[in-house]
Amino acid sequence: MRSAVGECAEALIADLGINSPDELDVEAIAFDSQVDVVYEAMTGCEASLVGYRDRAIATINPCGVRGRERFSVAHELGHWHLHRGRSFRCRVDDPSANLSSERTLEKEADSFAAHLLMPRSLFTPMVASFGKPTFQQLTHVAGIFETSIMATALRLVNINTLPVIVACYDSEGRRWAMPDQDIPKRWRLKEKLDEDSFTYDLLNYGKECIGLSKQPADVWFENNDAAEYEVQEQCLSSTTGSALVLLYLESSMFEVGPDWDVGRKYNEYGSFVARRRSAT
Amino acid sequence: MSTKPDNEFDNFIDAYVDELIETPDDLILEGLDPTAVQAKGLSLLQAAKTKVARSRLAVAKAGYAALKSTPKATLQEVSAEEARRFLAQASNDSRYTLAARNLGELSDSEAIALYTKLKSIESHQNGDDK
Repeated sequence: MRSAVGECAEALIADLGINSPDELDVEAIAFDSQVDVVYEAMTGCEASLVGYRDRAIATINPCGVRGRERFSVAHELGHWHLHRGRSFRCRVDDPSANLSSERTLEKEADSFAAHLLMPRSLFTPMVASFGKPTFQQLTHVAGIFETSIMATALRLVNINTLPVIVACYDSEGRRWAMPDQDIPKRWRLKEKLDEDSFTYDLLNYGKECIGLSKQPADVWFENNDAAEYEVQEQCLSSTTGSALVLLYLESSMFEVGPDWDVGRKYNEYGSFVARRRSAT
Repeated sequence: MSTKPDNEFDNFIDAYVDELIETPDDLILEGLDPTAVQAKGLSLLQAAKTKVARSRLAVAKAGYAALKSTPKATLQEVSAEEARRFLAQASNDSRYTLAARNLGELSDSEAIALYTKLKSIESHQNGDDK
């Protein structure tokens, strides 16, 4: 599915005749949109955008991590194209922080940035060549597009071509999860990490995940029938004690019907307690 | 405003286009395959569009390179209080776009820096309007 936000970003790429990742010069793309990008040290803020009529200045905090700087430019350019003429509080955190919040404008700008930096026409064929990309392969792709591994993994889900979930867990449990939109809603990801997961080993014992490894699906899903299926898991250390997780579901997990019992809880009187939120 | 052509070249182009439009298709094609002619036309159009797009990207790259070598705007001599007042007004005016931290969170120097940037865009735009 293509979003209006994504189409807006990818139209810019088409308008400039860009057909390879090394042409994705985000500052030049901004310049074409009448946005001057300036790099200046900022305190407590990664970026800001000020505009008057059809011109603007995006100020970016030079953090030394090129992927992050590029994302900040693309994010502010997203605000310019999507939210021009409005004033609001902008927080350019990493996409992970915005995912775990309800900041609609920030999420839209993040989505715009992802499409701009990794346009479908260039990104999809590249990841398709890997089959089910591992974190190592996604790191390679991130290098080509000059993006962070986090933004690249999220874009992998967004292109909706693979049975994949990208999630973030820390010692407290799940921070957020982003499933491919075709994954049946019946599959309910666990809130807490299972001790048998590789991600648990990574967070608790520092044991690295060198590649995708098979796991019984009940390690990751609450559903009673999850043990009948398998997933492939890989995890990667992320920021401040959290782990980024890649989960590929096997095809049979798409063929199974709804699971009305998943997440059903009963109180001490035997009454049904409504579920808190959807599967993933 | 008059739409009447004001020089000989415009007159020629208008007459040529009118004549072209009135010419029957079979006379123009002169035995050629219409599908092949259409495909060739579309291909030429696409090539022209690509060329224009790539020129636009080249212009944008050159523009940003020039921008990078431009000295930074010096901060306006304005009090932090006045800068904040201006930013507060701008945030309520749809001609302005402000995606930044809340005014209350900005330090004095940050408020003045934002003010300076907005004023520089304003003066640039007002210059363009003249």
